[in-house]
Amino acid sequence: MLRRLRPLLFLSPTLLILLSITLFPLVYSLYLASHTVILTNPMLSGWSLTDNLREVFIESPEYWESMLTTLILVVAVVTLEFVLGLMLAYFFFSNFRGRNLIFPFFLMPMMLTPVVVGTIWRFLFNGEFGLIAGLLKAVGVENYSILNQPSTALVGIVIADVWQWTPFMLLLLLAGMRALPRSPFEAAQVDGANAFQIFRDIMLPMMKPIIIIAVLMRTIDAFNRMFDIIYIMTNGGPGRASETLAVMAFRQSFEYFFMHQGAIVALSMLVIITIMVKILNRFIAGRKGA
Amino acid sequence: MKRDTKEMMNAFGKAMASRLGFLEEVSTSRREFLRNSSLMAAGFAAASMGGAVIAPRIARAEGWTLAEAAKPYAGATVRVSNLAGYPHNDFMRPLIADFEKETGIKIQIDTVQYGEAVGKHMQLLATGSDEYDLFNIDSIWFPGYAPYMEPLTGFMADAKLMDPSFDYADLSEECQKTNSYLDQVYMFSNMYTFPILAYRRDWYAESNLKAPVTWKELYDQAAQFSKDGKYGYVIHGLRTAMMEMVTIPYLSMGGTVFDDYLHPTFSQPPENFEKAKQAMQLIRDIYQNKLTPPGSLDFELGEASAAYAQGNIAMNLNWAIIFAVQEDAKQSKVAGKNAYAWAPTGYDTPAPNGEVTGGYTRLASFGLSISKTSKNKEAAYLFSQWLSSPAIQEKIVVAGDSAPSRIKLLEKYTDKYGHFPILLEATKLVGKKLWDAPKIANERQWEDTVAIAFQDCMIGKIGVEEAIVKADKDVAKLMRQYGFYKGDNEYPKSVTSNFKGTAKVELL
Repeated sequence: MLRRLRPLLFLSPTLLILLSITLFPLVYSLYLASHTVILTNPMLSGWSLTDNLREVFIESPEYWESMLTTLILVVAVVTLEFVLGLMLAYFFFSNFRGRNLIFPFFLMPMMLTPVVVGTIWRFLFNGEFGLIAGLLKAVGVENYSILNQPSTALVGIVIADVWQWTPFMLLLLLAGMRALPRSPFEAAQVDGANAFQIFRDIMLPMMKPIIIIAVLMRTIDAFNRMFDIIYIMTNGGPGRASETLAVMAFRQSFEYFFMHQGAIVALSMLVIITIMVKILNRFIAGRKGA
Repeated sequence: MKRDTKEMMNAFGKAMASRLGFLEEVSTSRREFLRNSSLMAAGFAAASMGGAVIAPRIARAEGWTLAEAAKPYAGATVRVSNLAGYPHNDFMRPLIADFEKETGIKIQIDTVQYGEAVGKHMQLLATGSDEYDLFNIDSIWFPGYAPYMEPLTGFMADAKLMDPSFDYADLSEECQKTNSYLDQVYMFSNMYTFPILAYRRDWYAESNLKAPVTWKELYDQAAQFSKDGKYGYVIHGLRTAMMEMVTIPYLSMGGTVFDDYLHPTFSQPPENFEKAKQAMQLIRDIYQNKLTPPGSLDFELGEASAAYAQGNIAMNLNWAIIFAVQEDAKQSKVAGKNAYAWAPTGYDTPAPNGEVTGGYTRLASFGLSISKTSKNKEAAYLFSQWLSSPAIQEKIVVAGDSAPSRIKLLEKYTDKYGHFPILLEATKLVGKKLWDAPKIANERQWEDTVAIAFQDCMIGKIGVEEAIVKADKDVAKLMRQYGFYKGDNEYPKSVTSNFKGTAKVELL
């Protein structure tokens, strides 16, 4: 008996820490989501799960607007980052002089914190003093502030996010390319295939697993973390034009102090991310099985 | 405690809190009863005050010195969360070494951006953090902080701590009022501010114009100046400023923001709706017709002032607190080139005899409030008192501050800044034509809700009428969620801060 319990005994400190930092916040979030918790009015309390769900999912068009904004941003950034990352990976896959010298520069944006990235781009997009506004003025577009227009605020955010996270795609895809066996490429060359045919018919199909993993990982990450850059660049504005679910959860919890509504938004994100992770896990397990 | 007695007390506390409209549901614990009872007492206090200024008991000890008072606390470190970017805070910094030297108390200051301050502060306070002893608070947000802060009234009555030369009565009446809550004083003002129109004296002289007295005149002048890379006006369009950007003209036309039941009144009664439409249309036209810099939907008062200081804007309706920046030749191209005037009144017709047709927006003040969790409350009190004392406030004004909280300093240094006479005159508006934001914990949230509707209008997402109705609807929904409309109570003037009785409107 003691022998059987011994591994559990040794594992227990780690398990306790893990439970306290993962399970407790989750249980507490469930508690918040099912009660009325308003920091500025502690008198309003009590079980109110159905009311809370109705408020967020039925009575607040804001939730669905934020969901749409999140999806638009996620699809836009992941698509662009994948396409650009693939092009850059293919570029760095070939041998050329100075490759090792310039490669680190392409990785630099990824090393910066999103707050710094947001601040840099906010200044670049500033309608009065920003470099972009200056360039637009040079081509005849006067008085334009990208982040002040609902139609272009999302474009500005996409540009900043793509600038920061394309290197992540580049790294994953380049690693995938370098891990491919050489013989199919050599055979294709012997058969007279051109570079585009080799890329389309040999490289891309062989890279499919790494591409799916990279896209899924980045999708999960973008969905989850579409907050810092937006908070700094537009704070969800103008109006609510760039308010994602993460920004909404923050605003409901820490600006409006509706902790229960913030918890529901955050938990809904958790459900979506869990589904994505399940898909990723299933895919990875499937690959191992194969 | 016997069960019957406990139940009776709970029922009593619950009933009274419900009557006051603060309570939706309560548990029956003793703790809850105590909370309810305190709230009930607080509600009565608010109702009985009727917006009056509190007269705290002030100790006056002979021979009091700061060094002697601070002796028991020497070696303590007082941590302050200060608001960034405000000139009076910058002028205060070099003087802190004197306080530290005299008292042996160390002052450690962190800064936080205005727009983020309430969120960050509330997270700390609500979780019982003792990270800061003092919080720099805009008085408009104070009711939200109140449950977590320590009243100063007890310290003021303590002869060992109270500086007899402090001259509490010299703080403007509005500063005293806005830094008190219910029957307690919570902060000493170290700054007092009011929106004043700064305009380019040189441009106006060249164009043979006078400062606008109506909003239509302001628009026409702004349009006249907006050419060749110049702008006529500068809007503060950030979410934290947008509500006031529209309500300043709206109030001056005679509009009201809430009725006495805290029902929002931008869209009703019909005369309010007309004024709100005129005010919203005016600000939207200024933005859409490019009479303001293109990025001004991102401007708070600091950014607006910085843009004005570049020298290509004609008018800057801004808070007096920030004028020190534009009058500083090191930071501004327009230093010494400005004149100051009251904000316009009325849409196209000034009121007879120079009186305003409606009201003015609030006088605001900032101060330092002590956290209940602070372990250095007395040391923190001494620092806060020292900072707002006549001698230090005078040093700060001499150094360049443009928004002193003391009446005697405004009188003594009338000529230092062009806007000081207006600032002084504005103190006389208290209780007459001055709209103050309701003293409720959810001030920031309803302002933000209005700002979202107004910003949507500015960017053309929705029309003017739709924005005004949306603002009222969304605020009503929000206030209902916060539990305000239980029992359909009329709120006392000390809560609504309405300077005139406002007829009840239907909730949207």
